[in-house]
Amino acid sequence: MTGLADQGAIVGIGETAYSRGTGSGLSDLELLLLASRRAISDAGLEPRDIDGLMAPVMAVGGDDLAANLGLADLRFTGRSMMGGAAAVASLLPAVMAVATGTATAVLVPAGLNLYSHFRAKTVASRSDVESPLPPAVRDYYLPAGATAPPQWYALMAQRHMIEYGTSELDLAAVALAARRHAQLNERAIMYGRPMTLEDYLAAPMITTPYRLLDCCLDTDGAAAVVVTAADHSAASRHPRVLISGVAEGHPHPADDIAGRTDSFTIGLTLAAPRAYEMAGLGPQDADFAEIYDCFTFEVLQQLEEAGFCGRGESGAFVRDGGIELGGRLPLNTHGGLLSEAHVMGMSHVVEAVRQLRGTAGDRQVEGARVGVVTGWGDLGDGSIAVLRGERSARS
Amino acid sequence: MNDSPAVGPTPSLEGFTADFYRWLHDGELRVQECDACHFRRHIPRVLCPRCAGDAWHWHRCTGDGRLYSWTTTHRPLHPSFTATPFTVAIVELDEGPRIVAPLLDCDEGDLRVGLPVRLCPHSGGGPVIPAFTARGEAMTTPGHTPRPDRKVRINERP
Repeated sequence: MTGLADQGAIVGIGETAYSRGTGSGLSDLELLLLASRRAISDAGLEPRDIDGLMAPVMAVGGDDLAANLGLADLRFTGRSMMGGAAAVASLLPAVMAVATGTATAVLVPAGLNLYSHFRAKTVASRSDVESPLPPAVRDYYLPAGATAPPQWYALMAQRHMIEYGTSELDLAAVALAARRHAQLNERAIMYGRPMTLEDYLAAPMITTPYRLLDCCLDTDGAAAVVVTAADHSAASRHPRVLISGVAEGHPHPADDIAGRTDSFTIGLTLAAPRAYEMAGLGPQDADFAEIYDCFTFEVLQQLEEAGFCGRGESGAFVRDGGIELGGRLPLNTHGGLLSEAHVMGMSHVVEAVRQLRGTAGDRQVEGARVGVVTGWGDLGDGSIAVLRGERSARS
Repeated sequence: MNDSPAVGPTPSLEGFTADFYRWLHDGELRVQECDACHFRRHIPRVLCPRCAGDAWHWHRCTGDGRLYSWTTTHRPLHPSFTATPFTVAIVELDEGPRIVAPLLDCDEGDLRVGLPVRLCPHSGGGPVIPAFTARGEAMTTPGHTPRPDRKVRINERP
């Protein structure tokens, strides 16, 4: 254990409902405020107790949130610009802030109307949505027809399949596990909609090797957590969930998949050893993992790069159902981005906290004490948190 | 497989990027080469990512390379690319750097890592972009010669 290990704790979690179809009926701001208020309340705090804010990566700025929540004396603010890796990555500055006494309670919200305002469908029909892309992608990927994330990551997946014999059945195992877990989560968009391997294989091809069911959902919703110093978490009525290790990492170059010396070295490859060292824990200590699942292959790749198996071994790791509840490493126990909802990575953090509190209901991982959560940002930025529950110590 | 991607989103035609596409307009693929350590790079950068040197020149590539990876897109994901299926590849140039580019006129079943490919600058009406096709077999068709589009103003070379 080093430095900031166990110095910060997640003491509050909050989520909105997750929706598609007619949409949330709320603005992005309203969604974020709802999730934030629930997280603050869950922590046993009042909004005025919040003096730190990590603003969400998209949709709404920190000032807007602070003004609405009445955060009258913010003394620490930040914003991680790592896309889907930002939610987990934001835990690092949050811990730094509370461990140093810079702030006492840091709110970390994420989410937006991804379905009704920012859907892939919308991106496919509106060119002005391209603007947030890095210049390398805008100037050298888009003109080539590589316009969307499934294509960028398919280029990695295809290479992995050729080098290591990873198969479509391995990709399917990830999608099927997520869908099975979603059947135990009433909040999940795919609750009540089970999926078979035949369903998976019959889904339309989007971009090889990704079929429709290899791709995450676009949903409306938001989630939030509150981080305090570990020894300031008395107000929370829940068992503490300690942030034992947390780190972010960036592939080089971060803005160009093709230009990397090693195709499979991503941000997580660099971040995971740092987080484990900080925690004094390793992948073998994890009772479950919530892995950012924008596409199925990215889960396989992150399993390898986070050290749950060796490079090229992820297919065998998932093929026998070992990532399902009851298996050796239950994965994305809420259904993940694939079958629960896309909340920019924050729903993975919330689910991990729930598991470590022992309040995950039918999908509870028995005796869960250590969970690993990852985030994935565009073109392979990575973040990882090793969370440790104190449930058994207190109950 | 569709061999004619539509006009893509237009790259920023400023600075290095303007130079890069200007060379393509003339049928050449060029990458930056560091004057100090001779590292060749694509995407263009101000500094050498290997030695931080700021002196460099454009190195003219042969246009030959090998297929590194690919994806064949079956569902339109962008309004400029609705004629599916089409294939986007990572090509490893003989000169070293890898580049993302469309792969034209190839059967998906024939694709393999290491497949020799050759530059065939392409324009569907927008700026000329780097594209590749299989080399070795008789793959040349007139449609794959550079077709600079006169309607798109590409800056004159200084």
